[in-house]
Amino acid sequence: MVRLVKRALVPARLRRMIRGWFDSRYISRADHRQDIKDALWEVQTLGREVAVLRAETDRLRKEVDRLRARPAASGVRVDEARAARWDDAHRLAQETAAALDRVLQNEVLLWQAVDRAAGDGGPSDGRALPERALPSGGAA
Amino acid sequence: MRVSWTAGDGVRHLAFRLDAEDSITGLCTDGQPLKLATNSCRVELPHDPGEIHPDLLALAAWTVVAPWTRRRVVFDRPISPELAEAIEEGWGIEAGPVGGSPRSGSRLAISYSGGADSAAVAAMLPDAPFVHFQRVRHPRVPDRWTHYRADVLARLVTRTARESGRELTTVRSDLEFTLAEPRPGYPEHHAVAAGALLLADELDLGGIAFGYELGSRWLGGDRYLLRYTPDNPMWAAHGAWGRAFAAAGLNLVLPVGGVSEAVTMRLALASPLREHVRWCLRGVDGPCGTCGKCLRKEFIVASVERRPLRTTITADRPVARKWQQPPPYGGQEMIEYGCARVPGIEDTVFAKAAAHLNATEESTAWLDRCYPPAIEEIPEPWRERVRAFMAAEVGFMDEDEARRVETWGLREELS
Repeated sequence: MVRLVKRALVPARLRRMIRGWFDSRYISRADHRQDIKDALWEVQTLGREVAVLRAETDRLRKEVDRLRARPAASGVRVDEARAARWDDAHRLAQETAAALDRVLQNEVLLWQAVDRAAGDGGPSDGRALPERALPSGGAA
Repeated sequence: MRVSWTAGDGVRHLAFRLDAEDSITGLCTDGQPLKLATNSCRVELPHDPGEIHPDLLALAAWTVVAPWTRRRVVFDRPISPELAEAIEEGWGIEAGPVGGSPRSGSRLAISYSGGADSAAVAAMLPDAPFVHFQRVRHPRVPDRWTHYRADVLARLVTRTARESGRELTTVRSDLEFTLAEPRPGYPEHHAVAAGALLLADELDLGGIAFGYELGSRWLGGDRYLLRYTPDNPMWAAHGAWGRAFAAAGLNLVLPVGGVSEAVTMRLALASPLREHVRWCLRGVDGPCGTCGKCLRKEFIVASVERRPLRTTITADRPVARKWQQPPPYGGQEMIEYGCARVPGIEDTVFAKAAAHLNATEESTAWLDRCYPPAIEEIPEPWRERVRAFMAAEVGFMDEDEARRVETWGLREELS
């Protein structure tokens, strides 16, 4: 804008007045320069912060690697043989629990047979009876 | 079936022996086939109540052994003719020996689980004591269900009672492990009241209130599907269990039997117990947010609060699989209610269900009010109190809305 004013043939007084008018409304070159300096400083600061964060990330990554490696050092790393043993123990626990279910049920049935043999097995004492129906809701 | 109770170390032990015609496979009152795991269990009361009325001991035992009893049940001490008659009429089972007189009591306790439905009951009955049932391990049955955190729930209920100044009795029992299949659980739904039964004399109880709501009582909820159940054998006052409990002087009371889970949720969230309400059986520090129950209840909360669903559960997860199938669903009335109200339902795991159900706010508005016959079946000492609460807080269904309850399941069958 200033260049435009320069090119035109404008009296010096008017030119000064217009320039003064513009200058009062726009940021001066010196201020622009300062702004750019400030921005540059910000960018440099952020750059330093990124560098610090990157170092921190590297440190944490190393820490993770170290922690991952540690079980091996203290001797509880799960190798194949150990995993197989654990799987086997798990299978055994499940099968034992299932077997115990059957043992408990058989115990119930055994007592039922004992009572029947002792003549204390209920009114029918072994004769087949119809299955009972579900209880009814209404006054049956 | 022969039943005997022994007492020792503050623990009541129940043992039972099968008659010749009994079998380790049986049926729950709701029709679910059950398999017996073992024939003993125990109930730990916080302090020994001393002498317990034989009817209470007998009925507590009956809530455990009923599924496997075919012909007769013999208790270890004489029961009143009234209870014997209730068992005879309700199940066609001869019960004895008979002798002695029935009992009665005057107070109403709440069978408090910690969930929204029992919190709603608690909101309605601010001075009623809580009885909480806590599952513990059975010394003979391996516990393969350790994700079920009854201990966490019991601690939460204890804190709830302390902070709200409620009287609480926590009863610990392994009776659920008498059930082998489908998995440990109450042999009959009423076994949750075993502790309340044994304590009824000491606490002077004349009734026990449960959080069973409209869906469970009148619409055949849970393992029932989609039908109007005025004669629900489990929860109708005139049903087999209702009459057996009444005969033992401990009336079944369903204060929220006439309202849906939307209403119980609203009542629970508006109550002072709001912060303590917990329906999840798995989470330790708060609900797990990943089980089917958390998903269903979050859906109900979202529909009550009219906000989008907050869940990380995706449609490919097993707990969300049933909502990818066409109806019918268990507790379908609440799925319809939620589908009509949760914003952005088409972007949730319920999208397919919503498309199938086509529910609208108008078609589900009846679920915001109370079904009047539910009030009529509440025993007289507590009826007017519940009626007044419902009138003030909820409002009653008109005839058209009540007809929605009474024709539940018919439309689907006709179409």
